[in-house]
Amino acid sequence: MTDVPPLPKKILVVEDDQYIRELYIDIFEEEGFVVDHAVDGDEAYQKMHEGGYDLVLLDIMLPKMDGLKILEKLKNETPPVLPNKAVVVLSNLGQETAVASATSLGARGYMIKSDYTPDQVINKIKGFLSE
Amino acid sequence: MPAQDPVRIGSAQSSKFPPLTDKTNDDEVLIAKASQAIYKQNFELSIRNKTLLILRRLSDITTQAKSVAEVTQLIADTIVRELNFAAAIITLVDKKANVLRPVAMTKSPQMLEGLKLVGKPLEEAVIPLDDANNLTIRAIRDVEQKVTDNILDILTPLVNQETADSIKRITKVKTIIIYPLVLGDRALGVLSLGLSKNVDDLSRMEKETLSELIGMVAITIDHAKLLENIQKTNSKLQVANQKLELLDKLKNEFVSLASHELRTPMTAIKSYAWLVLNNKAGPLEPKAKEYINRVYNSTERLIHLVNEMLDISRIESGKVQLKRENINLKNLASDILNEFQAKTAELHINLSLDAPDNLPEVSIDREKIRQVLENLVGNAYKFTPQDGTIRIIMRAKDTVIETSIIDTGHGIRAEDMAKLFTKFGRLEGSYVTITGSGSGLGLYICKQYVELHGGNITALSEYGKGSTFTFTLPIAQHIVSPALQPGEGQLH
Repeated sequence: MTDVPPLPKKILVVEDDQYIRELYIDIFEEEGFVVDHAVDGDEAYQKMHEGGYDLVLLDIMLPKMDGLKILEKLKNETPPVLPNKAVVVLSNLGQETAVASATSLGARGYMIKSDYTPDQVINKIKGFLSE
Repeated sequence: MPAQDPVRIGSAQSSKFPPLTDKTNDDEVLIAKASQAIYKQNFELSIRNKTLLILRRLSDITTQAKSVAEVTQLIADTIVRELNFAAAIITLVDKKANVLRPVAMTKSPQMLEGLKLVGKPLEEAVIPLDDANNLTIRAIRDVEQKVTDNILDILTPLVNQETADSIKRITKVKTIIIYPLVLGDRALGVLSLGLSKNVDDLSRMEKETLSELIGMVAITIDHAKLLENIQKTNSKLQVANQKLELLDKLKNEFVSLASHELRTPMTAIKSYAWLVLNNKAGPLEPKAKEYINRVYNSTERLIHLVNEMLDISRIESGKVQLKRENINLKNLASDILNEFQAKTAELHINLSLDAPDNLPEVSIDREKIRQVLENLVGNAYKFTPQDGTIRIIMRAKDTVIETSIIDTGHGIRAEDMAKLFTKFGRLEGSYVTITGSGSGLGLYICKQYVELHGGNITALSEYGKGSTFTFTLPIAQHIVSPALQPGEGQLH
């Protein structure tokens, strides 16, 4: 057995706001992660359904299908061959009901985007990736 | 014969007429008189019984909480049935329309036939309150019982004499007694009773019985009216309440969505400003760095304001639920101290924490109390000039932990103290501070959160010298088991 360098972690950024999406893609790629993205609920659902992400950062308010609906649909399905390892909600919607729903649908964490600077976001997701 | 027979009079032993054989004439007269007396007593007793029965019925009607229409109809029917009247009509004062309006009438075929001759539905056969020709109106005015054998007296100006006579023929009502229904100085209306005999044929007892009943009838109707009013008011209130609940829900949804929409561009401004400040887009000229720093700080202020407004929206809609856990308050304060250490050091402000190691735990929502501490220390930092001090002191006192944040800042004017914990209670001159301004919501939120935990918050200040904010939180074991008292030095 030879030492194989660890594969870079694969992150899916689900974000409909272009500026914020590109911000996260930029800072995550700079950290060496492989970053994929989805701009609406349908695309996010398709990609999450296929699986294989180490971490999905999921927005709640999305065009076509909201984040909670995606989680609900996926929960009732057979998991993909390569399940997504963790889903963390990254939203600016702070309603307690949304937080409670996301948690009960299996989200590992719930982050309010506006509370974090880019370096804090990176620290948080590194924490989730190492869990 | 039983010796204890209570109605033994002379040699007669019962109320039946005894055989009048070998008795003297005097005896016969005596017996006849006795019998008459007994008969009369029995008759009066039966009326007494009926009175009691009707009073009981009235009390039943009262407890059934029905509408005024139902109650008056039941009263009319009960009196007619139990006291053998031909008919009864109850009319009530309608102050708005300034009329006396019939609300209930005996629904016998004769009465319904008679009503047809009036040519109006019952409730429309109203008499103006100022029509003194009508005997019912006079009964109310004089607060006096009236009697008549002319139906026109109670129906004028609705019909003429001819029609009134026809109605009298059809209904077989010979006499009408009109009782005003009055409570104190309030005239409710009248009860008109139709007799198929002459009024003189009514016994004294019957008349007395009736006048006894009238007061109770008035009370019963008044009660029904009150209940109806309460029910109307209740249903109006319910409708208003439902509207308010809907509005409240819409307001909360609006606040949630609006804050989401506000936070999204603010996240972008904050994040990109941060990237530029941290030279991710290349090195910055000092002036540019200063300006971008202001963009960043202003955005942070906006985000903070939106968060506070969301907090208030949640507090005021009663949606805040504490996620309590047992926590050592000293550790939480240390975290906050670390957060502020760099900033205070820059201004040579001495920031210290004084709390015993054996501080009992509190059962609190960590995030909420963190917010309270951050806010109070943040305020102290904002208002304390260079080389000042900020001290956090924690002590267990009886059943609470008392935390004081003491600064050597500007202090608060006496006249401003009352405004401190109110919404948007930012004080005069506090807009321009070292780091910017507060929204005026922070202390209001602190107070709400501390009180939700069962504690209280107070402020002391001497203008120009500094301020002390103190809040208490119940010790955990006093929430779980109030019977347990913490012994001195027990919790090492």
